[in-house]
Amino acid sequence: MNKYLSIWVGFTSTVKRDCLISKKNLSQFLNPLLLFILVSASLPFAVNLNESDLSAIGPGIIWIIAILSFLLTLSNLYMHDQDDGCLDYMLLSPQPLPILTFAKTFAHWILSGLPIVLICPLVAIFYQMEFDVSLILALTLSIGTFALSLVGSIGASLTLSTKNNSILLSLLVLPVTIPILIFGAKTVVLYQNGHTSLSGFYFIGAYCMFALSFSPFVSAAALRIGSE
Amino acid sequence: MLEFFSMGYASFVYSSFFIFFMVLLICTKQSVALNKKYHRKVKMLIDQTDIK
Amino acid sequence: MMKFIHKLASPPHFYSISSVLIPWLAITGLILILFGVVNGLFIAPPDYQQGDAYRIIYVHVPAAYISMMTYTLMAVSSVIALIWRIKLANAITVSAAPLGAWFTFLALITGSIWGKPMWGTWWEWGDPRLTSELLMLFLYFGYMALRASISDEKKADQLSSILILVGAINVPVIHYSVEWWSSLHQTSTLLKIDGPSIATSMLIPLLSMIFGTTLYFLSLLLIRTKSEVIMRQKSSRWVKELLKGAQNA
Repeated sequence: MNKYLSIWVGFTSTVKRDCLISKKNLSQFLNPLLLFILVSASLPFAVNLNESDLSAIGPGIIWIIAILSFLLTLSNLYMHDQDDGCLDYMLLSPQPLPILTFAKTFAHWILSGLPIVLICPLVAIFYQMEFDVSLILALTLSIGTFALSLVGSIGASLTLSTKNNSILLSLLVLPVTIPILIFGAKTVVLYQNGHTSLSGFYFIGAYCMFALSFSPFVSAAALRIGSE
Repeated sequence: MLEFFSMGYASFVYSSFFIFFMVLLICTKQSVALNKKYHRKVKMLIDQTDIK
Repeated sequence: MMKFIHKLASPPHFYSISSVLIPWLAITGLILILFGVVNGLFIAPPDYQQGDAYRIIYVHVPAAYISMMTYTLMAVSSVIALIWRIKLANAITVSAAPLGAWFTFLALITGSIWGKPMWGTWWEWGDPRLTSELLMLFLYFGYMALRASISDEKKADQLSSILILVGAINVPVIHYSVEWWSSLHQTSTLLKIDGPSIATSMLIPLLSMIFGTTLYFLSLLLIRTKSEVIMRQKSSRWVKELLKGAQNA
């Protein structure tokens, strides 16, 4: 079998391509991260709370700011490819389109989600959260942002042909992310209060698996319909 | 009719029934107005193409 | 029977059949609603636990039932439109969305009004049924927003149908949330295996309200679908003859 047609090569080359493109365009990669840091840093100024209250609201706030800054990057997921014509190549390629959409989603998570995960122990300091709590937060965010990438790619592929699509995209994706927001924040709060957070992780993992099972296929179908 | 205001929580119950009928009324008005609007629009478009 | 269903999928037949059905559905629905309201407000006895405030059930349950039923209807017609490409199904999905949104809003408001005397609060974020019903309202809005922003009608139909199907998981979540999580809502009283666990004198107005509101909702849905069908088929001959005939009559 020709090695250039294999699914694995299709997957890795798409991921590599996205990473290379983002390396050239560093500001696109850094700006959401900076936004995340700035907004979470300015919130403690806006609310004059004492230490224990801040650490109580910290997980939820960091979660929602992560979701919002993540959503900003989602509208570009397929748009750049549509603009320079690569989307048509992907539609015509011999690899199954769901593999390619999953590759793009995975690359998006590496480029946008992982930086947020790596930075969040730093941001957790603003909210007077202890280090081990911030590690649990980072863990929940890592699975959570992956699930968010998956769900967001469905939204991105559906809104590809609309103008001003980043607001519409956020409108469509935010309601669907409410369950994972609730459980992500709840997991960290459970750990903060001393209970075991394993049940929360089960739910986040289940949500992520559920999204994984249909997101590449739905995105592929929406991309095909959108470019007929 | 007046003795029914002595029901406990009367204002809650009556306001929810009122809202129910309001929503039904608004939906009916919207649907009929949509019907009229589409009829008029289609008629206009057909008349335009028929003149040719 | 199958011939009837096949005929129904053809727009001109659908138009004539629904024109006949609409007044019957609307009038029967209104009669049942009126009976249910009078019975529920004045004839049914007060509840042992909740006193008279429980009577909100007679508007809350029909609204919530219809909100879920509409979403399911939209999901089914989306599947029919995507797989079998029956154009009428697209018209039904489009027409059902605003009605579904209104009834979801009604369910949320009446539920909130009921919650104040019962649970002491207008809203409770921890309750899974409230959150998932609110999520369904957002799904309706998202559908209407997506449809409005895509200019090509065929693409708009297909992409928003996909959106409806993605969100369809929410309907079983709403229904079973009272069993899966501990919640302020009570578990189901009507759809139980050994019959409803509610007193008959309270059950009759409730059933009357549910059926009446459903029939009235169907009449509104048919009115909107009729308009949508005419709009979509405006270049076809049967529409021209229909409107010419209406003009000359």
